[in-house]
Amino acid sequence: MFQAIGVLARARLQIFRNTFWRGKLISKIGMLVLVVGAGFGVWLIYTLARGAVGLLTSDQFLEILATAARESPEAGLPTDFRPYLDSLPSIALFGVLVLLIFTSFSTVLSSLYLSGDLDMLVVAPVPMRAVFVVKLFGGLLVPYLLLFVLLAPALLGYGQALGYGALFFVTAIVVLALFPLLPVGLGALLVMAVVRVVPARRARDIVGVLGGLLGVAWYIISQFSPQIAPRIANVRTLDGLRQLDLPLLPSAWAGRALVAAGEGELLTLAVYGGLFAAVSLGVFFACLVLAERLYYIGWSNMATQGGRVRQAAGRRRRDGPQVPFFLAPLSVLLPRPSMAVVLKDLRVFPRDLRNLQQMIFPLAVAGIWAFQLLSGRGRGEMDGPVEGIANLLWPAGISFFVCMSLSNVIGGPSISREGRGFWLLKTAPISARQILVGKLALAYLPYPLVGTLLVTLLVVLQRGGLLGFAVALGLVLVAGLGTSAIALGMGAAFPRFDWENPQQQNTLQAGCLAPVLYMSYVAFAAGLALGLPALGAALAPEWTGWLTALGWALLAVLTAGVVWAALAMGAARLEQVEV
Amino acid sequence: MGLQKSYGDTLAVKGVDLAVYPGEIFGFLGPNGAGKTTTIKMLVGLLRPSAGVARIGGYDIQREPIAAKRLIGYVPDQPYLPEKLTAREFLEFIAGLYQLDRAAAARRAEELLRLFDLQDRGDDLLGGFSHGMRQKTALAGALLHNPQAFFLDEPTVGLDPRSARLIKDILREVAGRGTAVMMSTHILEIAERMCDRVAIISAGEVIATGTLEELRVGRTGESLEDIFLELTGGAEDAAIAEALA
Repeated sequence: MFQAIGVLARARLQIFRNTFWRGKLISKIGMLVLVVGAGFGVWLIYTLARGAVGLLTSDQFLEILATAARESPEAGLPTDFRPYLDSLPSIALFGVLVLLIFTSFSTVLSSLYLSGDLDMLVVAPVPMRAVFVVKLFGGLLVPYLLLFVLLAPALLGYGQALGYGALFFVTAIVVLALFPLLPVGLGALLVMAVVRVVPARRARDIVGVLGGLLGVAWYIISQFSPQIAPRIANVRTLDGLRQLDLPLLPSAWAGRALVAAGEGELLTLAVYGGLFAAVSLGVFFACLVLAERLYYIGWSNMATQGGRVRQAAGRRRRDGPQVPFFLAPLSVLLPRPSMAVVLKDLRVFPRDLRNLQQMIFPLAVAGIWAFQLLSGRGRGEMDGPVEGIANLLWPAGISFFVCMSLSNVIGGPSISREGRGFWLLKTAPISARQILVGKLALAYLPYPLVGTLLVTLLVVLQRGGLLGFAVALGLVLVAGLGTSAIALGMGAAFPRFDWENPQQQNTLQAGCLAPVLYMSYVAFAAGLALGLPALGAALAPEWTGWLTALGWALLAVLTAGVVWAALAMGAARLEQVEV
Repeated sequence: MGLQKSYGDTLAVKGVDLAVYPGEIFGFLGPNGAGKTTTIKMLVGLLRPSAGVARIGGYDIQREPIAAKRLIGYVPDQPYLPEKLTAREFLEFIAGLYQLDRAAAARRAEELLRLFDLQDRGDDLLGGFSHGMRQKTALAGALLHNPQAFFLDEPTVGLDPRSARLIKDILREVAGRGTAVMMSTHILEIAERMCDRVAIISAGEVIATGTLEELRVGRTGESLEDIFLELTGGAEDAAIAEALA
C-alpha cells in the first residue's frame, strides 16, 4: 500500500509543480502576491498576539485591573488575569476545532468524491485505502494551511510574550500537526455515510447553501455587534469562555498540553498530550480502516445516481412550451431565439443550488442595509434642500442595491454559465447580439419585478408622494438597465467556459472592470436625474422644470449609449470565441 | 476550400479542400490528432479558420453565419448539454433557437424521443444521463430542424450496438432525403459499409478522397483498413506491435 501511496502522492506533487511552472505569468505573479500577503498576515497576527498577551500580563494592566476591582466591587472584576491567559490556547483551539468540523465536510467531500481523476484511480490496480489516504491528505492541505498561517503565529506570539521555552514551540508544532486529524477523520466518516444516501454533488450543493446561510447569520450578528457587545462584554462571559477549557474536549487537552509544555509541567504534558495524540491518531486510523469498504460503496453509489425526475407536462408536449405569465410581454418584444435563451436560463438557474447560494449573501446584505436605513441608523441628519433629494435617494438606493445584487448574480456570469455547452449556442442560428439581448432581459428582470415592489413599499413606509415614487422608480428602472448591460457585457467580453464550480464563472477581468464601470455610470445617472434638479432648485428655481427634463433626457441618452456599448463589446468578443 | 487552422506556430489543418454533396454520406477518416475534429469545428463555425473558406449550402459560415447555421445539424464527440434541463426541455430550447413552429416541433420532439428510446426519460435532467443517452439526445436536437448539412464527430462512440445501428439507419434515411452527411469515425468498418465517399486526413492534410473503388486503384490493399494503414503509415506500426508481442 505504501508504494501505491508514494506513486499517487508523487503524481499529485508533479501536477502541482506543472500547474505552477507551466501556468501563465499572471498566475505566477498572483501566487507570489498571495504568498507575500500571507507572510504579512502571519507577521501581523504574531505581532498582535504577542502585543496583546504582553499587555495583559504587564504590571500596568494588572494595576489598572486591581484599581478597577477596588472601585467597582459589584462588577466582580478579577485581579489576576493569568487563569484566563492559561485558558486562551484551549479556547482558540476550540474555535478552530468547530471551524474545522464545519469546513472539513465539504473539503473532504470534494477531495474524496468530486475530483476528476477518480474514474482512473478506482479502476487502477491500486488499493482503495491508498486512494483514500492520498485523497484525505489532499483534503487536509487547506486545514493545515489555515492552521499554520492563522493559529501558528498567534501561538508563537502567545508563547514568546509569556516567556515560554523551546518545549512549548515543539509541542505547538506537534499539536498543530495532529489537530486536523480528528475533525477531518470524523468529517470523512460523515461524508462516507452521507454519500450512501445522497449523491455527492447534491450533498456538495446542500452544504454550500448551508455554508452560505451560516455566513449570512454570522454577518447579521456582526452587523448588530454595537448592540450586542455591551450586553455580553462582562466578567460572566469571560468565565463562560473559560468553560471551553473543559477537560472533556480534545481541544482542551491540546490547549492544556501546550500550557503545561510552556510551564515545564512534564507530567501534565504527558497526560493531556498523550490523550490528545491517542484520540486524534486513533480516530484517524479507525476512519482509515473503515474507509476501504465505505469509500468504494459511496463512490459506486455516486456513479449510479441520476438526475431529478420531474412531473410529465402533458399539455406542454401537445402544444409546445408555455411562456410564464410574467414573461409574456418579453415574448412579444424579443426575437424568438433570444426568448428561447431566456426560457432556458430561467429553468436552469434555480435548479442549481450553487447559483442560489451566490444570491444569499448579497440579499442578506441588502436586507440589513435596508433595515438600518429605515430604522434611522446610518442616515444621519438631513436638513434643508438636500432633504428632498435624500428622501428620494433612500428608496431608490435601497431598491437599486437589492435588484443589482440579484441582477449581478443572474447576469454577470450569464455567458460563462453556459460552460462547455456553449457549442450549442455557437452552432445555432442565433447571433451573439441576440444571445446577449436574451441574457440582458433575464438579468434586468429583478428591476421591474422586485424593484417596483420595493420602491412602492419603501415610499409608502416613508409616506412619500406620487412624484417621489415615480422619480425613485424611474431611476431604479433606468439605472438598472445600464448596470445590467455593463455586468453582462463585461461577462461576455471576458467569459470562462471551463469552470468546475459556479464561483469560478466570474473572471478576474470582468470582476474588476464591471464594478468600476457601473459605479461610475450610477454616479453619473444619479447626478443627471437628481443633481440637475437640485442645482436648479438651489440656483434658479424657475429653471427647475427644464433642468429636470434635461437631466432625464441626458440619462436616457447615457443609458442607451451604455447599453449599446456594453452589448457591442460583449457581442464582438463572443463572435471571436472558439470552443 | 483551402481551410487552414494554426495554433501559434503549429499548423493543425493545412489547406483542406472538400465538398460534400446533397444526399451523400461522406466519411472523414484519420489517425488521432490528424485534424478531423478541428476541420469539422471550422465547418460548423466553432473555430475560425486561419485561412480558407467554409461554405454550407452556398453560405460562407464566417460571413453569413446565421443563414449557414440554419442548415447545419451538428453532434460533437463529447456532447456537453445543459445538465439542469430535461431532455424535453432541451428539445424545446433547440426548437426556439431554430424558430420552429411550436406545436410541430413538440410533435417532432416526441417522435425523436420515441425513436431514440428516450420517451420515458424525457422528463429526467440531462445531468443524470449516460454518455450514450446524451449522444442520442444531442442527435435528437440536431435532427429536430431537418438539417440540410449534418456533421457528426465520432457518432457511434459510447453507443450500444442497437443505438449504433439506429444511428446508421437514421443517417441513411437523412441522406436519402437529400441531406449532406459528413461524419468522422475511427471505425473503418462503418465507413466502409455506410459512406458513399471518404476522405483520409493525416497530419492536417487530406491525403486521399473518393469512393472505395477509387481509393483501391493502384493500391495493394483490398479493404478500407488496408488502404488507411497504407496511407497513414499504420502498417509499419502494426509490424512494430507484432514484433513487440
